[in-house]
Amino acid sequence: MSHHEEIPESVREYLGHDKVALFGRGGRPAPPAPPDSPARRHGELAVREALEALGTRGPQPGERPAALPPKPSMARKMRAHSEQALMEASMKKLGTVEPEGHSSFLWSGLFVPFWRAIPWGLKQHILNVASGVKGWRR
Amino acid sequence: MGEAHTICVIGGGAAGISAASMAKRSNPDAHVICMTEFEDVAYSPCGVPYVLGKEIPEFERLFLAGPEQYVESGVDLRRETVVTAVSATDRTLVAGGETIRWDRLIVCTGFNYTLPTVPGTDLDGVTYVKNIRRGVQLNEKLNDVKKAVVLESTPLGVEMLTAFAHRGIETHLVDPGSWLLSQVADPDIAEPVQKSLEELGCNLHFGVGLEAFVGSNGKLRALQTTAGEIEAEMCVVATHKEPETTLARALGLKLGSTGGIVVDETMRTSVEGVFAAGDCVEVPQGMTNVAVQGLTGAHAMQQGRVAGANAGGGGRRYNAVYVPWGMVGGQMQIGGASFGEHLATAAGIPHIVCTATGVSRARYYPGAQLITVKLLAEPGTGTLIGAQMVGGEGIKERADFLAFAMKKGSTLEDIAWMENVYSPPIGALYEPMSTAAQNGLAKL
Repeated sequence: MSHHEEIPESVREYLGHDKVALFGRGGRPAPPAPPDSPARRHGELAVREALEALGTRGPQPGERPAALPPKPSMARKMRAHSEQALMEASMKKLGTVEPEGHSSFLWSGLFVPFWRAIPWGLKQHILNVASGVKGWRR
Repeated sequence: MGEAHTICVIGGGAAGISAASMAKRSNPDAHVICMTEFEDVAYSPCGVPYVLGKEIPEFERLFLAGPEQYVESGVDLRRETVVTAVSATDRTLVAGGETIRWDRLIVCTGFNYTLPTVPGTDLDGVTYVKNIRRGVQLNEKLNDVKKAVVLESTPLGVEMLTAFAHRGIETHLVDPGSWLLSQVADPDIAEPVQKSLEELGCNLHFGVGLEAFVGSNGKLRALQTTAGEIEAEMCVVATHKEPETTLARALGLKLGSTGGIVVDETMRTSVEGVFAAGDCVEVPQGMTNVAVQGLTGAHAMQQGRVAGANAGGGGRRYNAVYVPWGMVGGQMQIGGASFGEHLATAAGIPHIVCTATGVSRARYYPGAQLITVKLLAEPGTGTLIGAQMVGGEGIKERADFLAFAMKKGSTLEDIAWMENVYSPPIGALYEPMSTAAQNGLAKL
């Protein structure tokens, strides 16, 4: 890392980027300095000051690994709604606590009874067609 | 010797790193570049909750190999390198400001947690468990946390409940489902795990929805739920694994009904020269042919190996999955393969259920634990369609075995008369799987 030399020793130690970690252990991160140690206090202070100088610490990879799904296709929407309704119906049947459901009447009141009524052979056919999976060995 | 070309791998997780290694092994002449936005590779993110729970003393133990090993094997490993653009038309990508031309591309972009659609998700204290560096930071923060909530009892959620309880943090679970692990497990199988978590001090709230993260001064203070407010300084969001497909969509790859990238059994996508593997793809479930996504690290690793071998010119194939799974919740182990009674009921699959409780070692041997095995089979034929198990030990091996038995089309008759190891310290005379199957034969 070319910027390695620019990082103060105390910050490197605090972040686990010490020389041993980088060059002696194959790049594995070392544990941070122990709480209340001088290195830890200096490191924390240096980090805070550096971040304040920058105005922001900037996003770190993996910091907020959460996202809303992109606009779903019709196939995904249908699957999500039907799965949700069927899972809720099964939880009501097998469980003792009512699930916190989101399914609308269309799915819980109409689709679920319809799905239950049709024979397994037809269900299998529908699942096969709807799955979109083709050309795999079974 | 293979054709000399450039194979680019986007992602350095289980799928990406195994794809890169296998591509180089299959075609030593190829220039294999593996790019990851993260600081580290070749470690087990699945181990992070156990360091947080202090069962594993240090994060360092999670590393399987250092970056220098990939350099030695000839993989051009580029950490902290974000791929910002990619094109299938001219076969280029832009990573860290550099434009790279590729001949084969392997997309292993993994997943994100589904973001709850409630106010307050940007509050400090709304936390995710993913990579090791953030895990190290989280470990430090947890020293000051007194009250925490885990959102949803997915496998990670249950692991985090256990970890928090081990650290003596007042822990709550908020879950819209009716029981623990309700996306995969049956209520009777989950019950011993729930009890164990409650014995550790966890407060489990089922059938409860999240309405908002409530904060003050930018910090999380509580969760507003359908059952009232729960005070917490931290909430670990352990929601569904949403496939990360931003680059896949830019490439024009076909996405399936789970939102994952559609691949064939060679892990080729809908675009020539582009492969994909891991949590960003969907693969068929063996019994129903229904696409599933967001499986385990073991699945990601094997898919990566297939994608890498084929990108390097090989001819490997990946099979439909029966998804053996297993984990520890509280002091109990829980696991299964393929369908449980809940999923079979939801899908409307005709089934019979047979159950048995046995012991993990000879009854008289110290440390023997109870194991409950529940098998599902097709009425009439007795073909196995699923299994669920809970007990003190020995769940993983049985889940692996039963998934393989299902893949090979085994029946209750086969399992009822199976051979088994009898050795007092490691196995009882009566195998619980066999006993469950014998109980089921009468129901056929």
